[in-house]
Amino acid sequence: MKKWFKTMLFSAFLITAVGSCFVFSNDVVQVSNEQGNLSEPGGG
Amino acid sequence: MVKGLTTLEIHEIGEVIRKIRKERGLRLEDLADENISPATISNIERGVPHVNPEKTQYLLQKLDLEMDKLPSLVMNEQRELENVRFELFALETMRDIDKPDEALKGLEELDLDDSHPYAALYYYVMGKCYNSKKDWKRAERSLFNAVRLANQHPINEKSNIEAAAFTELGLCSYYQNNLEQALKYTESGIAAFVEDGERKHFIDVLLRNKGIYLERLGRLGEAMQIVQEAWRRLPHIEQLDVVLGLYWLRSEILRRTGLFDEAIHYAMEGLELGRFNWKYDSLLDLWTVLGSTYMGKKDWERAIRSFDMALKFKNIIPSDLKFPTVYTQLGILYMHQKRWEDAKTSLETAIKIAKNCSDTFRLTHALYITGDFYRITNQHQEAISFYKEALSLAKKHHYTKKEYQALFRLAQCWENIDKEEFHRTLQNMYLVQQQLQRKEEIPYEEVV
Repeated sequence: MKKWFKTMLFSAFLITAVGSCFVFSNDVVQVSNEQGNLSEPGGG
Repeated sequence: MVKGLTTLEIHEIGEVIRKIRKERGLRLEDLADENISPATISNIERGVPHVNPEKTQYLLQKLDLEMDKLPSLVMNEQRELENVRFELFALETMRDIDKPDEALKGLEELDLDDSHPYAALYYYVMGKCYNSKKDWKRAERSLFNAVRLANQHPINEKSNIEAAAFTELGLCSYYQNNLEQALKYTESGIAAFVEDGERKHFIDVLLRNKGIYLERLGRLGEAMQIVQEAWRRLPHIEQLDVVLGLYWLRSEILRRTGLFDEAIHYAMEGLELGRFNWKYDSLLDLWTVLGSTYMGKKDWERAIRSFDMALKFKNIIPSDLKFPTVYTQLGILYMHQKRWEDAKTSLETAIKIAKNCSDTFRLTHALYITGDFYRITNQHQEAISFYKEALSLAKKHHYTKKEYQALFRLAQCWENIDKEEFHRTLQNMYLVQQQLQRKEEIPYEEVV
């Protein structure tokens, strides 16, 4: 029962992941929202 | 004779007693008897108020200290304490002008022990020096000592050394890429801060740092709350770098939440403030965030002009550390414009500078975007090789989110090339996602 549940969970994940691959790949250029760190913390 | 002493005098008499006891090679136990316990002697030496003055009197008699000599001994002690404080101030400045080795040498010569009234300050300056030298273990040890000793001597009651030491502990964790720990230390610093104490500027430094740690953790809502809290204090903030850091943070959060016009407003305000104060470092940050915001608005011309302005600070700012970010953003912009050759050149430059600076985070990001470049131009084998390089760096340095992103892109590449690799990558994505969920401690109701 437990193993069956795990398999189900993993399959659900695979479907979501593959699904999001499909959604993402619709854009020609995917812009990363992050831009690499800029302003840094500091001391006093 | 010792009745009616001020708090300061109580400290200094304690110091005189401690010094004389040590000069005579006596332990606390050697002086204790049925009238006075070692704990009471220790309290007197540390200047703890509310000790019965008669006990102090008794101890002075026991040490054969003549009362008429006491004022001159106290004055000497005061002068010596002032000298130590002055020297520590000079050494902290020396560290701040990037001479940590000289500062450490000075600290070694001072050689204060844990019972000295300025021991907490001494260890704090030492921790700052080790932080600049990237000697994280020694830095942490010194800063923990500063925190431990900050509450032991009444002289430090309002010094805000504890808050300052927590700030540095936060930085120490941040530079070791432990953002959660950095955030915890910073919160401890905010809790320890004494409003009417010395080093008043630390509350602003702590809030700015907390905002940046939250932003790095992707907790943008909380980061914005901190910015708004700090914004109320803006007219009173003493460090201009903190003010400009807050402008950058506000603009960056707004950009990432898609509020482009507001992001531009704050970036421009910050740029004006930085411009007439010649704050080049902040100007570079703000021109870059402005460029990224215009890119979000698809205003390519202004985006290019902004990144171009950011690049004008090359050879003006001593470190090249932040330029990979600008070149990477330019690379993305050129990809949008399908200017493939320009995109490639920008990304190559980003990678080259990041490698020269040994900046692994920005290098990981530049490698990842270069992977995007090759994937979009249908050069899947090259894309895979860049994503793999990004993945291995992300793994090594625990950039878990980047690791997940690189795996996702690899899965996209493998999907039509090698089904086995595709499934293996998906499996790894699953494992990394589990790690991410553990890190973010997703509450039960959100777990489906």
